[in-house]
Amino acid sequence: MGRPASPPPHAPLLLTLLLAALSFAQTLVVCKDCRITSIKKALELAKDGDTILVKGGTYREGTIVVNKRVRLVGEGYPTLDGQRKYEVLKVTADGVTVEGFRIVNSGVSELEDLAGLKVEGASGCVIKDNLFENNFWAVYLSGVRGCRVEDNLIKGSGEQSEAYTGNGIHLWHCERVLIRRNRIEGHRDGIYLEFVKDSLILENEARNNWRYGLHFMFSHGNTYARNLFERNGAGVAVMYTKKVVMVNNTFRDNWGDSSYGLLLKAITDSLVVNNRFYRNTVGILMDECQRTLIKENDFVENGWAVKLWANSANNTITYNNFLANTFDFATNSRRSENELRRNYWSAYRGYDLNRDGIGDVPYKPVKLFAYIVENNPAASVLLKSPLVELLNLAEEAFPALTAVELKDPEPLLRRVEWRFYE
Amino acid sequence: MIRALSLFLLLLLFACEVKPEPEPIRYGKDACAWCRMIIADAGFAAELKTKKGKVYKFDAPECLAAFVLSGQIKKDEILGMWVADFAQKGKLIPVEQAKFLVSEKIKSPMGLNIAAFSSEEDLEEAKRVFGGRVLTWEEVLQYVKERWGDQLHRHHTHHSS
Repeated sequence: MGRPASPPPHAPLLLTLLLAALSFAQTLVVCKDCRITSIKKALELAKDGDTILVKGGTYREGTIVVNKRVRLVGEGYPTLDGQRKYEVLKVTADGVTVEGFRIVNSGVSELEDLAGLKVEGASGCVIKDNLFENNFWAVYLSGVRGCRVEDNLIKGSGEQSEAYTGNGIHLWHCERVLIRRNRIEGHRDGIYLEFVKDSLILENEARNNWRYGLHFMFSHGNTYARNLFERNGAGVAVMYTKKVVMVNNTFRDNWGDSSYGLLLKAITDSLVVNNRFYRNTVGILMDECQRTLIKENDFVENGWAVKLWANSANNTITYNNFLANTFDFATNSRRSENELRRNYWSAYRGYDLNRDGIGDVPYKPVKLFAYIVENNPAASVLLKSPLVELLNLAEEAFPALTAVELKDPEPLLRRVEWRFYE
Repeated sequence: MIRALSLFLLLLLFACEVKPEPEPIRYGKDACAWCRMIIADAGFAAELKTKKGKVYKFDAPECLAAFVLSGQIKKDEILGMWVADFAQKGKLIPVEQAKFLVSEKIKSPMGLNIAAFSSEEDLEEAKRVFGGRVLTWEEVLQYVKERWGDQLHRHHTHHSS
């Protein structure tokens, strides 16, 4: 064993192979004073596996089509300007990375969805650490599999012009996409999914988008967690979808006449767990919602914490905190086929003689007035009138007035402790 | 006195007459009376007005068609129906005057790929870009019935604006 270590006999061969590999994947540098001055030229010269390094400056090259497997990397956030005429970047090859660019001013079209960055029919893309400003659509993935969209900052034009603002991150017919740590504002929907499956939406912040922060259509088996939805037209609309997991999100300040924190429209077999709903017109609006569990959420200072339509059944609402909402519940049905049990209601005035932590009198969260409004929307003009106070008082004095069966037979006396994973 | 009163009643009658024109759609605010989505795209919206003046707004032609097919409003109660002109965003046209293009490349909000046009040239241009087939309103109703048949009666609409 005392022999000095000698290189294995095939070391020179390995070294040669390594050098060959290194020289094979080259880096092409683009800048105003470089040998290559345009990204299009670099793409012409590049081979699969190459890196194109773009230095600072503004590039106006029409639509740049990336049809080779390259890493496109910006240094000092070079600007790619679509001059309000062109789609800026269009990726059609598998395994493309776009990182470190400022992508602005995509074209606007009546007929086409022009984007700042579109990926079409490709897999394995990485779109990371870019700034998107003033694009029609910002990031647009169509027929994409296995991509990551991370750490992008996306700002729409902010014009409230219905015709000319598309979505921030738009996915159509995609699967296995990770959308993480993006900040999106001023678009139509912050994030939009249509026919998308097996995807993760994590830790994004969607603010001031003029329709929804996040919008699902026909997109089954996806998870969104730890996102913030603030001051959007409405927070999140999950529509015509099965098996959605919604965990640890914050829905805040989504106000307006048809607004809500979360809309569950034609949803089955889903989970809404450990979320916070603060100051929304409606916390959760459930319409045609089946077999969904709503557990350990906080509903704080909403107009209505939950609106439950009669066409929703077999849902379970348990261990939630209902704190200082104007109304805790509204429904348009006298009977409810849903399980409401062991929630904490700050408005509960019952007692607990056997000290088991559960109120001895059921809590009826639907106020008579809320029921009247649901069935006669025009009555909402009375919302702040003394008449309503009188109705509520009368209802407390004579509980038989409450029209609705819905009740929590085991209201909790103490707030439910659950952890929000910051 | 009686003359004054009858004049007043006559005026009231006129005041209550429902105009056969669509109400403007507040994009980003009004919600679809069928699918509940907030109406955002001025290229796809639709509207139905009853003779009593009740207005139902929709985010897509397919939602208007589904609403009509569901039978919640009887045919003889309908005053008018309008759809957005895909090529002239924001313009609402009567369904009878519209021509519809169905193409997989048209991404209408509820996924049935329908757009409406008032002008023949716009329709031809769109057909050149998207391909697809041209339908009348009656054929659109038939198409939506074929695609969504089983959903049309389960579905339940609530209130409109």
